[in-house]
Amino acid sequence: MTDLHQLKTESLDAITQISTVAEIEELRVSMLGKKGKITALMQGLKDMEPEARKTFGAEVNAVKTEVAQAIESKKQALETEILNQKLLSEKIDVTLPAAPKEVGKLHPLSYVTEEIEIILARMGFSAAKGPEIESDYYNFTALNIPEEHPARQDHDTFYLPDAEDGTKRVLRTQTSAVQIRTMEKHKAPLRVMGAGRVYRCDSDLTHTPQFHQVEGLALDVKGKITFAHLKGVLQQFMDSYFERHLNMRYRPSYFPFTEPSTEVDIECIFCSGKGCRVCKDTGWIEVLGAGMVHPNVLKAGGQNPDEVQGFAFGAGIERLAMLKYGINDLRFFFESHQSFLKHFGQSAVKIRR
Amino acid sequence: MKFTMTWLKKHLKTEATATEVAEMLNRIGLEVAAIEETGPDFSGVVVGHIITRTQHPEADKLGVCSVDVGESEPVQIVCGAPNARDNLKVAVAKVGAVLPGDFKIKKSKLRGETSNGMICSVRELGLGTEHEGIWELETDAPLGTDLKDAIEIDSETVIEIEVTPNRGDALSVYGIARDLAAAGLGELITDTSEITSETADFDIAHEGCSYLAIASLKNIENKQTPEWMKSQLEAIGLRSINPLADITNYVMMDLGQPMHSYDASKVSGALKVTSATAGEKLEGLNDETYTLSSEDMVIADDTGTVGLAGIVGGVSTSADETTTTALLEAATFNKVRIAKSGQRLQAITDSRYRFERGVDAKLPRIALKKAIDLAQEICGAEVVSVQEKQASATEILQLDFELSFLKSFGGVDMPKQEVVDSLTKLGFKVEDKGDVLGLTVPTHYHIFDGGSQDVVEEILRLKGYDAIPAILPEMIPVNALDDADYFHADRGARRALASAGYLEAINYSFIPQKHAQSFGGGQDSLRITNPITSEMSDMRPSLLPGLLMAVKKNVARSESHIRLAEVGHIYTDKGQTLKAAGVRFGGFKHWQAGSVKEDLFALKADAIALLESFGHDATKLQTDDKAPEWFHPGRSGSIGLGPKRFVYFGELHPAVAKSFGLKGRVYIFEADLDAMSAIKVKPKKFELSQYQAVNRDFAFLVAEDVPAEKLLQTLRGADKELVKEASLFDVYQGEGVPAGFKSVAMSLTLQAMDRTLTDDEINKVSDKVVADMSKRYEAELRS
Repeated sequence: MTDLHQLKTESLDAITQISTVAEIEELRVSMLGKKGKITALMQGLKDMEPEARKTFGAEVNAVKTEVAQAIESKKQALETEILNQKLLSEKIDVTLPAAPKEVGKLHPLSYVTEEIEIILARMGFSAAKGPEIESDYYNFTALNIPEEHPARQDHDTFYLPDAEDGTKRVLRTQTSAVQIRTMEKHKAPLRVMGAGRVYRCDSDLTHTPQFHQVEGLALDVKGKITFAHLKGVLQQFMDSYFERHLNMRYRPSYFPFTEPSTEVDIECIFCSGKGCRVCKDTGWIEVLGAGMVHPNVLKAGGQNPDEVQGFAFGAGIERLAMLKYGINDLRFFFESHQSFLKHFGQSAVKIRR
Repeated sequence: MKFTMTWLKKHLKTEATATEVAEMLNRIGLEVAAIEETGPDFSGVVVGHIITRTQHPEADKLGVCSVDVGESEPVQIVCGAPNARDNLKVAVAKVGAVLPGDFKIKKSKLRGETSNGMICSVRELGLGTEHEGIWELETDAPLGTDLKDAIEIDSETVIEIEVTPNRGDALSVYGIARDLAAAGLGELITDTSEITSETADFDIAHEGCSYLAIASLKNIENKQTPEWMKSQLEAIGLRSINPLADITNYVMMDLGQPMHSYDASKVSGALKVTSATAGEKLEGLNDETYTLSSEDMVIADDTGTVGLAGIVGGVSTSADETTTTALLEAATFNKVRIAKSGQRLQAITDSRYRFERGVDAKLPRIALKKAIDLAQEICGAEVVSVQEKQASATEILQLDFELSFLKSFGGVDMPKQEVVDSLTKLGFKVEDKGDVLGLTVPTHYHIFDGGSQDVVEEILRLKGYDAIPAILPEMIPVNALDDADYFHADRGARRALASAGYLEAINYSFIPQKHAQSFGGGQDSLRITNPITSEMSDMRPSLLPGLLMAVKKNVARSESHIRLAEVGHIYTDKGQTLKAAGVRFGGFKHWQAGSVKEDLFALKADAIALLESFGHDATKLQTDDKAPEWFHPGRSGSIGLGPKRFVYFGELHPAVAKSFGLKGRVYIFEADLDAMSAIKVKPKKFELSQYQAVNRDFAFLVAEDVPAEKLLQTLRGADKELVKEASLFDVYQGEGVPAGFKSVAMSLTLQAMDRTLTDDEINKVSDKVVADMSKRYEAELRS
C-alpha cells in the first residue's frame, strides 16, 4: 500500500520538476511502461487473494489513470510551449498598414436620391424619367405656364437654339415636366416619382446652375385622393427620410401647375423648432413645394379633370442632403474634390434601413 | 412688396403687432421675407447728466466731464463740444455702445485723460443733421434710461412680403389689409370713393386697353412732398421725385393702381391709346430708351408716342417740379399685352409688375379720385375736368361651387356658414343654392383658372392648412410603369462603380466648347444660348471632359491618386443617353507593393465588372482595338457583342491630356448604359459536377500581333462540353523567343458532368487545341 502511495507522490512530484518532452517520456516508461513500477504492481495483482485483489486492484487502477493523465497533460503543455516558442520566432509587426484596398463611394446626392426613391417606392411610387433638354411646351406651357406668365421670369431658364421643327428648347427648370410625359402614357390611378438634374441660370453662394429635384405625382379617380393624402404622404416622406417624427407646416403658396399650392416646412432638425442660426430663428425649414394638380395640367396630360384628381410635390435633393448630412456649402456637390467625395460619399454596400 | 405698419393701419383697424401680422401673412400665403426696423441704429446710449465740466489740462478745446449715468459713481468723459457745461442733460454712449456705422465705443485716453464713453450730438446718433455741439436733452426720464425709451424717436416697422404671381391683389397696402381682415386680423377700413366724370374727348384705339380715365389739373403749386409721404415712400424703398410723381407712386403702393402724371403744357392735343409704330424710340422716365414694335401699346398725343402703356411714361411729357398744369392717367390694360411687351423690351417697372399680374378693373376710378384729392391737398391743384371711357366691359367670372368638393378634394370638412363667411370676406358674392354656392369672383383676382380648385384654395388658406388631416392613401395596383431598367441601369451602375473603387462625381452637364469639340460634340444645336460663363457653354457629348477637368482640379490640390467616375446623361442631336465613365490617374506607394501606378488592365477590370453587373458574361464579350480619336491609338479598344460596342477604354490620347493640362498616362473608359441594358442577357444555367476536373497548361509561340483574346477564344472553343475554364497566365518576349513573336502560356480546365475523363479524352481535346492554334494563328506549341 505504501508503495502505491509513494509511487503516486513520486510520479506527481517528478512531473512538476520535468521541463522536456524526453524527460516526461522517461518518466512514463519508468512508471507505466512494460517494466514500469506501477505496471509491476498491476502485474502483482494476479498473485493476491480475490478479495484483496479487488480492493487493491481498484486503487492501483485509480493511481495508474491519475498518473497517466498527469503525464499526458504535462506532455501537451510542453509541446504547446515548444510550438509557441517556434511561432514567436515568426513574429511580424501587425501594426504595419493594411494592404491597399480602394474603397469607392457613392456621391452623397446619389445616395440621398436612392433613399428618397426607396421611401417613395414603399408608398407605391414608380420611377419615371424625362429628357433634360426639354421643349418649352413640356417645361412650361403644359404645366399651365403660358408664355406671358410672370412665373416664367422666376425660372432663370437656360435656352438652346430652336429645334429644326421650330420647337423652342430649354434645359428643364424643374422635374415637373415628367408629370405630363407620364400622364400622356398612363391613365389614373398612377403614382410616379421622377428624380434628376434640373437647371437654372443662376450662380451664387446658394445657387448652382445645375441641381437636382425629385417630383412625385399621384392621380386617382375623383374623391379618392385629396389634399389630406398629400399631407399623409409628405409626413411619411419626411419622417422616414429624417428617421424621426417631425412637425410640419403647410403655407399657402402658388405654383402654376397646382391649385391649391403649398410650401412645406419641417420643424428645424437642428434645434427641434426652438429657433437657431440654420432656421434663422423661425424654427422651420422649407423643404418642399406641393399642391393639388391643376385642371389645366391634367388636360395637357390627356386626363379628364372632371374624372381625375390628384396631387404633386417636388423637393430639392441638395437641400435634403445638406440638412441630413451636415454639408454646408452647396457648391461642393459639383466640384468633384476627392476629399469631399471620400468624406460625404456613402459606401456602396450601405443600404437604407 | 414692402409696406410699413403705419401705412397698413390706414387700411386696417388692428391691435396686432408686426410679429402677429407677419405670422398671419405667412399663414394666408403672403410669405414674409423680412421684418425691418427703420429709425435709430444705435444701442447702449442712455440719458446722462453732466455734473461738472472742467478744462482739460493739456488741450484748450477739450473738457473733462463728470457724468452721472444713473450708476453709483459718475463716469469721466472727455468731450470737445462747446456747449458741454455743468448741469446739463445729455445723451451718453457708454463703453460698449454701438453708434450708427457700427462705431463701437471703447474706453480711451485723450491727451492723458481717461474717457469712459462719449457724449453724443444729434448727428452722431443718426437722428438728424444737427452737429453744432452735443444734444441737450429735455426729458424727465431717470438718469441711465435707454435713450430710445426716453425720447420719442420716429421708427417704423417695414414688412417685406414675397408676392406669388397669382396674387396681384396683394400688391398694395390696401390689398394686404383686405386679406388680413378676411383672415380675422382686424377690420378693413374701406376706401371706395370714386371720381365723377364727364364724357371723354380722348380715344381708346387699342383693344389692349379696356378703360381710361384722365383728370386735368391746373394751378399746381409744386410744393414739397409732405414729410409723412416722403418717409413712407422712402421706408418702402421708393425715392421721392417730385410731388406729382410721389402722389402717383403713393397711390400705386396704397391701392395697387399704376398711374402716370403728365405735364399738360407738354402734351399736344388729346391723349389716346394706340399701337406703337415699329422702330420708333421712347425715352422712358427710368432712363432707358426703348425701340418699340407694332405689338407695343402706347399712349400718344398729336405729336406721337409719349409713354409705353402700363409700363413706363416718357421723359418728354412727364410732370416734373416745374409743372403747373397736369394730366393724371389711370387705366386698365390687358395683362397679357403688358407682359409680352415687358418681356420683349426687358422693361422692369413697378407698373408692368402690377399690370401683368392683374390690376382690379374697379381700381382706376378709386385711385384717380385719391390722386386728385392728394394733388389738391398737397399742391393746391384745381380740377379742370375728369374724363373717362370704358372701351369694353369688365369680365365677371361666375361659378357654382359644390360644398362637398371641399371634403372630396381638399380633404377637410367645414360648416357651410364658415365657407360662406370666408368667401364673403374675400369679396366674393355668394348665393346659397343648398349644396352648391353660386359665386361671383371679385375683380381683384386675376389668376382664377382652376375653377372650384381655386375656391378651395381661398377657403383653405384662410382656414389654415393645419386644419387638413394627414392621411396615407391606400395602396393602388402598381401600374404598368416599368422602372426596373432605371433602377438597374442608373442606380446599379453607380453602385457597381463605387464597388470597383471609384469615387462617384457629379459634374456639370455643360462644358467649355473646346472640350466638347475634342469629344465629338460642340454642335451649335447643343450650345446654350445664355450660358452662365463661356466655360459652361456646351452640352456635354461625353462624361469624360468633366472627369478630366476634375482630375486636373484634384491634381492641383495635391491629390496623387485619382479614381473618379460619373453616371449621367450625355447629349447629342438624337437626345440624351445614359452613360458611365471612369478615370484612373497617378498611383500610390505602399510598403508591400512598392510604387503602384494605375494601369490599363486595372481599368479594364472595372469596365468588365460594370458589364457583369448588367448580367453580361465576360467570356462572351469581345474586345477589339478600335476606339474614338480621343484615345491613344495604340492603347485603347472597345468591348461589346458583335457590332454593338458597350465600352470604350484605354489610355487618353496624350495630346488631349495636354489640352486638359494633364501630364502622364491617364486611363479612361466610357460605357453606354442604355445600350448595355437594352440587351437582355439570359441567365446562365448552374451545374455542379461530382467528377474530377483536370488542368492542362500550354505555351505557344505565336506572332506578336495576334490578339490574346483570339487565342483564349480558341482555347475555350476546343470543346463545348468539356471546357470549364480557359485562362492566360503568361506572355513573354525576349531571350529564347524569336523577334516578332511572343510566347503565350495558357491553362485549360476540363470537366465532364457525368464521368471521370479518360486520358484519351483529355488528349483528344489537347490535340485539338494545338491543331486549332496552328491552323488559325500559326501558333507553335513550345516544348
